[in-house]
Amino acid sequence: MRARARLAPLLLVLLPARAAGQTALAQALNLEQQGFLGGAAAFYAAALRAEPNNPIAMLGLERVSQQTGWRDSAVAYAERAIALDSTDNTARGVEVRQLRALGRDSLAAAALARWRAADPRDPLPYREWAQLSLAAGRLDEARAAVERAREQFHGAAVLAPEMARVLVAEGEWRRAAGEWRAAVTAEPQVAGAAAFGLRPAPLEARDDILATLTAPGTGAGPGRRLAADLLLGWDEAARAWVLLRSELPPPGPLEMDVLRAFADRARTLEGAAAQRAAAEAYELLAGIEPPGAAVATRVESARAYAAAGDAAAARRLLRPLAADPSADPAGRSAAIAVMIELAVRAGDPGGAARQLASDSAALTGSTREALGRRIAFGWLRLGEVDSAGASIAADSSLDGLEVRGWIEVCRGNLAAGREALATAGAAGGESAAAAERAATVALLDAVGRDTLPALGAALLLAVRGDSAAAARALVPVARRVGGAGEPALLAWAARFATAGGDAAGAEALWREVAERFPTSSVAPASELALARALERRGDLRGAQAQLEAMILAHPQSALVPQARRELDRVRGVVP
Amino acid sequence: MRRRGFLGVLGGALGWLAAGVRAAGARLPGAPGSGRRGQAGSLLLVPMDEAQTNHLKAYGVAYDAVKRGGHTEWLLNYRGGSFLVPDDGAVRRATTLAGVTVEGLDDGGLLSVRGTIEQNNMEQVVLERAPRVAIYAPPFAQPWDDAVTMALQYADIPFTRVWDPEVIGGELGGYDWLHLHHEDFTGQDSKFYLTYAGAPWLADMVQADQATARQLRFANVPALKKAVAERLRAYVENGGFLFAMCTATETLELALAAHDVDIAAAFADGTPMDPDADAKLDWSRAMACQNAHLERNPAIPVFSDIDGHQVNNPALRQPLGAFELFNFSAKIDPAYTMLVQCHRQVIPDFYGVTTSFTRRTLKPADVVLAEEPGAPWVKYIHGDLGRGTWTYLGGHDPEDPQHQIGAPPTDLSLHPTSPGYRLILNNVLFPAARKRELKT
Repeated sequence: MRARARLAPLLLVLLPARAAGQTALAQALNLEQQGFLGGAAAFYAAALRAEPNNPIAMLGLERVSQQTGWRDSAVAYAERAIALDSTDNTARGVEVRQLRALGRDSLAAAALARWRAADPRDPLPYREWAQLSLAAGRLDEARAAVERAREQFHGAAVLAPEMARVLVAEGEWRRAAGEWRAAVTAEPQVAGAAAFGLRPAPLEARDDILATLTAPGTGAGPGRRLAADLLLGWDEAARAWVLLRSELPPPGPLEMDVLRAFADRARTLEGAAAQRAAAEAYELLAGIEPPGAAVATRVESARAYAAAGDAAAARRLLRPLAADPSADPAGRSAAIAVMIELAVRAGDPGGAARQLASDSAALTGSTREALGRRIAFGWLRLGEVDSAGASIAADSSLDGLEVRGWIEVCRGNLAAGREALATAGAAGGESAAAAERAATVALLDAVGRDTLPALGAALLLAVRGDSAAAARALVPVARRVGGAGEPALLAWAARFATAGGDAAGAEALWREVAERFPTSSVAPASELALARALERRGDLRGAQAQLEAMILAHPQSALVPQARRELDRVRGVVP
Repeated sequence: MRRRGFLGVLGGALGWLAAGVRAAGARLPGAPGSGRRGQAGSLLLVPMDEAQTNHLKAYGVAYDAVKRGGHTEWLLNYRGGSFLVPDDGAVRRATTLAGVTVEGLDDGGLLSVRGTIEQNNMEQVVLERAPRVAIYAPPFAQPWDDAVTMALQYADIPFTRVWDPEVIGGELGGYDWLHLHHEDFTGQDSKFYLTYAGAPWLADMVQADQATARQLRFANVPALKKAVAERLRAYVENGGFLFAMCTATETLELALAAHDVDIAAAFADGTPMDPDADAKLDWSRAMACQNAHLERNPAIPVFSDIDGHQVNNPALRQPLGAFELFNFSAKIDPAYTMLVQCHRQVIPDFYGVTTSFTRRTLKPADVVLAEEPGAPWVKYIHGDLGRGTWTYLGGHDPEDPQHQIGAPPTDLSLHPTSPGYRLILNNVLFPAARKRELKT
């Protein structure tokens, strides 16, 4: 690579200057991306020799020089570029920055003075100096640069972002908010930086910030929108939405942009209030968007309402879309799918099935099958195994086979269920689901029966959400099965007992597996679970002893590395 | 919804059972039975090359074996600096619990190991006595603040915490090995006064230091720390093994050299730094460094140009590279060789308030143990003073290269083979071998 870098000038003299410059620049970018910074620096330098005022090459040389410690080179190229074109602000910035980085403050100050003299109407040199001073923690210098710029350009909002950062560093949050308000009024594109700068404000400073941003007067609109953004980040979504709605820009593209940005951000937040704020913002947006775009926005609004727990509002939005055969097909299909999901979630798989049947023609085959599987799970949650089976009767996909496997297991048809789950595979789908299938197949192998309705009934209780009842039902099944199935089923019962809130019952079951079946395949997992149960109830000494016993008894178990980590944590030797 | 639907209804996380199923037939390298078992009274080899699954805990196993009086040897340069430990129940139990890989050795195997050592740049050192270890750390320090504390805790090597009252009270004589928590011996609380103004942890630290100074009848914290530095130097001269990292290295040197000059800013002792402080430093009092220049700006948390990386000075900050451990003659210089035992020769660098030591400021007698080739700084240095030794390793935490205040603590169970942490633990076993083998 070094040889290539040295050859660069020789090769490039054979090309016309501009072409040589472009070739060298492409090489430099490529080498920089690969991490060959020395070579990249040589090619950036070659590009600058061909085109001294090429800003991409100039900034590239600055970047790699910074990392290779060859800052002097960047300064030399910057000075050459300035000599050729005194208005080259990129080169001016590089010269000042690199001289500062080299610790040559007096030379940097002189370069800054030359820059200012070259174009006295441009505040950029002051901005550069203020930013450099901020990065070095020299707040007084940064403030002085801003104040000099304001004197010269007679504007209170000049370099407002830089002054805001100075004030934030000093803990002057209210005054910083005032500076950011001026900044976003003058330059709306800095709104993101403003929110980023003010968001870390401590609780006690927030009211002052909001009062400053929302006060009447010049910049009230941008200030209030910034305040709404901050409130979203401070977990006050409802208040944020009220504030934003009262201060929307006049109808037009800006209004749509503001609503879209707010809704998208709120949608990514957790909590019903944020989801409701998102839903209302999307709904308002859908009302002013062109009809083509509005359909998708309305569906997203419905999803947000559903996430906020307001199914009625979601349906109100979706129903007209779902019922309109002339609507955009993709939008209509999405609306129908969300309505069906809402019905399943509301515990009405029958209603969902009817809607799926009536609107079937508006859906693609794969969407129909996916919704059928959702409905099947809905039926299982109600204990309606046959209806669940009917919902996926026509589904021949791998995912459908998996659902069929669960249904057979719940019916007590263990052999059929096992085969379907095993065919669905241990590796497909999400990893947690794959682990669940693998665990179930292992359980059914351990039980070793083709049919066992009592086991199916116990598992169905778990499916229906009654984990405690499932645990109680599994224990007698385990005793009856005996053999390798007994510890496996007891371990499942313990797991369900934990999920059902019966910690003592779970602990007793883990202990039984560990003590009565120490060589079973579930013994290591049970002993680890027992240690965790002891730790949860504050018995750290017991947990430590149990973890040590587990590691010593099953040194070859795949769970031992995890047990060792937990042992270290219980003993307090790692955080 | 893909295949996730059933998770909620069956309780979701059943992965534990799948893991239990997978466990059948699995085999761990460190488990009893995985190596050849030796006869009663024979030795186990604890390999320290890439075959080892937990290098850090292996040091604890060796330390414990020495402590229990078992015959323990350090095989310098043999498979990454392996150990020979007794093949007894206690060692088997400890290695299994810790996940430390061991290999049984019969007589033929042992002969072969010794033959290899004899014919190569290797040496066998008998570890005779478990060193009594002290860590100089403030009472309010969290264990996670300090890499050495973390390493010792993780490796199960016992230690005692000492602080200014114990040092001034002359209690260091009871310890063979002393590590300095990343303390600022210039008494300026790492010069965080302005950068972290108002931070509760800094306020607590300042208050505690001032209270200790008052309790021990010193005019201010810088005066107290200078006295502590003098005691530390005396500890080394009297045969102690001193190990320091990060700020403690550089500031200890400065505090010793500044015996008769005020190098503390006004916020620390009420008076500004002596304007002629640089010229008044007496480097003959320092252990490792000379001719350094002080950072005069009280707002920049940098002390001098001893540190090559200047992490807290944006204008001078240098990027991290990698450092390379030196090779020494194991038979001629076993002491230096011990300090660089590692399964990696090149280790990624890591920042600290003091990251490295500029070559220009080293004393001629210093021994460089690791350097960044071509850079004007070195990483790891060692030297003798009187009857003892000092060892300095730059940087704060080998597994947290960019270490920031407030960053989450390092969990060593995620870094059990850390080469950087091995350098720390080499130092802990170093005094165990001194009586017969150390020639420095």
